[in-house]
Amino acid sequence: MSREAHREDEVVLEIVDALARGDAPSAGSTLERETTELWALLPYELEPAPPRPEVWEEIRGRLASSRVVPFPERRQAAPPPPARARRGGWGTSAMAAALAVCLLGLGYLLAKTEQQQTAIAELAARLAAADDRLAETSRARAQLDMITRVAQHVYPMHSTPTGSQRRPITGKVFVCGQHQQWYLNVQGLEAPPPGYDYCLWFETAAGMVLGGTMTVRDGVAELSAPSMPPGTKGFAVTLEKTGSHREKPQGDVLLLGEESISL
Amino acid sequence: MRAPEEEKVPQDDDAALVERVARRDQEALGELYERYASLLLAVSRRVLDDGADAEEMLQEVFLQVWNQAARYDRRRSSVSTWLVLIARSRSIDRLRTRQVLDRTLAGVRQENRGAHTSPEGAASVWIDQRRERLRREMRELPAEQRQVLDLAFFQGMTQSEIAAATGIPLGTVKTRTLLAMKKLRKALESDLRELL
Repeated sequence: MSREAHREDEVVLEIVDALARGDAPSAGSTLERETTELWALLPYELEPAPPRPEVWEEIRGRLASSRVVPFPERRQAAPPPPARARRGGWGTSAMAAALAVCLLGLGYLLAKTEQQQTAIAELAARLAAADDRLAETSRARAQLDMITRVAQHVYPMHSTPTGSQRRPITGKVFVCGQHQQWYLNVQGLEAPPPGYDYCLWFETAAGMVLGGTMTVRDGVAELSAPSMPPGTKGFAVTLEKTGSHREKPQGDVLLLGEESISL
Repeated sequence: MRAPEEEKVPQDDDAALVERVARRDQEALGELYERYASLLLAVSRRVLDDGADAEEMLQEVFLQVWNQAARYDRRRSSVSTWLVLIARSRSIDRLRTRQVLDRTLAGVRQENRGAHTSPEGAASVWIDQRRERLRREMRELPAEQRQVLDLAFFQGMTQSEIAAATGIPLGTVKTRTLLAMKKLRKALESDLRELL
């Protein structure tokens, strides 16, 4: 046997094995095509087995059940209701409805966003106000701590007959004995006239010394400092012209405090 | 030599029918069914050894033909071969699913299938003529050569699997397979020419 014939035999055996496995034949060589056709002739040896007539009818039934029914036939079999007379119109209405729903949803979301932005701004304002109140409370607490824990003397202040205030004014100066830290609190002050300021004076052996200018808020004026002139023996609140020379009091005296009470 | 009055295999007609089936022509599928259903059912019966199962398989084959007719490639095989390969492949798959391989390995059955004779007019003349030639040539083959072809075709066994199942050396299985194929190829040369 020639090498070529031997190789051809090997190829035939490979093809037979592939066919036995059920591999689909390829559009390859003539030898493969011949072997495949020969292979498929083998069952012709069998006695034919005509199927029952019902088999073909069952095949037809299965084909019919898997077939897509043409659209016009289905429409004829089931007339559409008046509200859905035209498929295109129904589709357009559905699209319009969907678009309307989308627009409504968008409007709702925009309104909600605006509401939320407003709420956020209000909350921010309230937070800032709370911060202010917290700072004021912290300051008042510090002053109260100084008064209740550190202050050793208090100078009650009383109105003088020359005072121009229409309502009664009261004030107190709290003084720490060791550090001379002091705190002035005046109640009942009206806002100063335009061009005038309320001023605190220390009464010393050397004369009156300016302690500071007060700002009135809701009828209350506060002033504090870590020290006071040495030998201070009393306090006075006067109404001075803005920008005037402040070496000594020149305006009306509103409050005087010359006697202290030990705490 | 073939007798001059023998009917030729309608290969072109078969291919035309498949093309029509691909275009969803149910009548063309019916014509293919008329031509090949008996052959294909015989294949399924032979593989499955179960008439009801084989008829169900026949339905599956023609449904596959209906759905995959466009995939038929005449360069790869004739229509009859394409159909036989489909029927055989699906039947063997079903056989393996049923896990009755051991039972079918018992040997080539000598069952009388006279109860399934063709009804009048159901089979084409050329199929009968081809069948007669096949039977004649297969009878000429030694039993051991027929056995390896039978196991390969109807049980889907490769040569190695045949050797393992029968205890015959692999080289002997290959020799028997090759000798059988050569003899049949020579004897059925005219049929092959018609199919190519």
